[in-house]
Amino acid sequence: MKKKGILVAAAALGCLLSSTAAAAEQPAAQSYRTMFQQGTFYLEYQRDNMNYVLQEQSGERQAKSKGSSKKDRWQTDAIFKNQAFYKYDTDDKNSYFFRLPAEKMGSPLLNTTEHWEAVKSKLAVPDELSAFDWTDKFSAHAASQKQPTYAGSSQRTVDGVTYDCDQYLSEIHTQADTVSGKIAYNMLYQNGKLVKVQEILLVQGKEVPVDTVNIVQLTDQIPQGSFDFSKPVKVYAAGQGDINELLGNKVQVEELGGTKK
Amino acid sequence: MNMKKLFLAAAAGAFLMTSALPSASAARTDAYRDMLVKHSCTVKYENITPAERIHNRDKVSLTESYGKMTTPELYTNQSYKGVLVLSGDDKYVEVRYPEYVRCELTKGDDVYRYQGDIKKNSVKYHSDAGNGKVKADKADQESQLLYGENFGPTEVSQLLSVMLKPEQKPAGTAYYYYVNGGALGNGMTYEDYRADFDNGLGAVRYYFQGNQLVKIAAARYQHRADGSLDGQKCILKIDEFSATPEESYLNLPAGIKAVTDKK
Repeated sequence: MKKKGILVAAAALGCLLSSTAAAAEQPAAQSYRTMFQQGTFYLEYQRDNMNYVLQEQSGERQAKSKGSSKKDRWQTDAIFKNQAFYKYDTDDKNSYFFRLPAEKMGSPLLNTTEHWEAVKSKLAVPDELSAFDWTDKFSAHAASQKQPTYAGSSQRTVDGVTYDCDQYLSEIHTQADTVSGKIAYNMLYQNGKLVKVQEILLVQGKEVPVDTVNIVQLTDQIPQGSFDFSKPVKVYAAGQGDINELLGNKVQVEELGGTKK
Repeated sequence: MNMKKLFLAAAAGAFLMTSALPSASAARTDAYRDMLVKHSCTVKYENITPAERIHNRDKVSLTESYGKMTTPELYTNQSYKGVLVLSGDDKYVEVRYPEYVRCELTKGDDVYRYQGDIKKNSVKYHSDAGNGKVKADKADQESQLLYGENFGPTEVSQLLSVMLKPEQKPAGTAYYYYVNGGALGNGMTYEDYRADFDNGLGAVRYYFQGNQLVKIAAARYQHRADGSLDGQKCILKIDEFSATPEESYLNLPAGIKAVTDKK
């Protein structure tokens, strides 16, 4: 782990020092920003041996995940559509969703063990891409973190592969408005397409690697059927402290997928 | 609600009745702030105001509980003893109930989180990795810069952080400022800090016996958007707050070993 840290630090330093003559963002950066702004995007990425999809179209956003073994299948974890949040759940026999109207999010009546607040973070554009979509409606940035700004381009080698690197820097501010550290987002491109993002914390002269995600796809072409469910899935109302919740009764409110639309 | 109103009235009254000393009296918290900033201290305390029940209602579910919770439900209303040891890049945080202890040991980049079941005089340690085993997670320095340093449970982190200067706290966290200090009799003195929120305020009082910090008491209230009141109070009895880190806390105890994933 430490060796990798040194390599990453050296590479990051190299990225910072060797900026080429043309200090401009990759052209694709603007198209990525547009995708998020227009609300039509399909993002597939890998982080820590897990695969994720975040997709949006016609006002509906879905978050999916899948393990890394061959047996694993995509599972839809969270949905936002028609002003309601949907949260995946299972009781080992059946899979279903709970639905919560958007205006009830944050209500003190919600069962805290259901962690509805986590649904929003599942639906948020990942922090590694915040340079393209800082104001995403489901992202919750710390008040101390400022929007990332483009800081230069260079070539960067990671694990023996050389990429075109656009770096964005985001400052972390204190209450005295001094800068306690910076977060560097290294957007790594191959053939003009974003393929990897490194998030690195710069603090007190040190570089602390935070995360690396591999971008499998980031496009405004939604794969056919990506939003559909192959089999109908029941949707129940979220528990809000009423008698049904006390007795463990699930109240069905909807069905997703199948022939009903 | 009555308890809260009483406490708020008492806190407000205390503010009004204090005898003002010159601002040099903030010097007592200065010494403790230095220990936190220099990352060199041992703090042992008792939270004698139990946390609010984390569930939002007093009903008991008649069906099976939803699964693992990070804090066992049984203990959300009990007081607890806590330990914080800071030594450079190493940190130890502990929360101890009569039959259960929750520990977090940071050694540089590695964080070990484990629990212990206490029976008579022995402790059986376990973690997500199994009995007697614990796997290191990566230390999250980024979160601490963004949201504030972690000194223990949320309420304890907040009370200790109040002492820090603005340049030592992230923007967006509650801005506490020194208000006043004074004498309480019996050789006790205090220093008060306050934060103004949009719809409420927070007040923290540090109690000293001589120069020794012995208690921290805090009250905070805010009006929610719907007009209802959200109030919290917290009282910590400080048993020890010294500048010397107790090194014995900064290693995994006997009874638990670090394991790694086989790759």
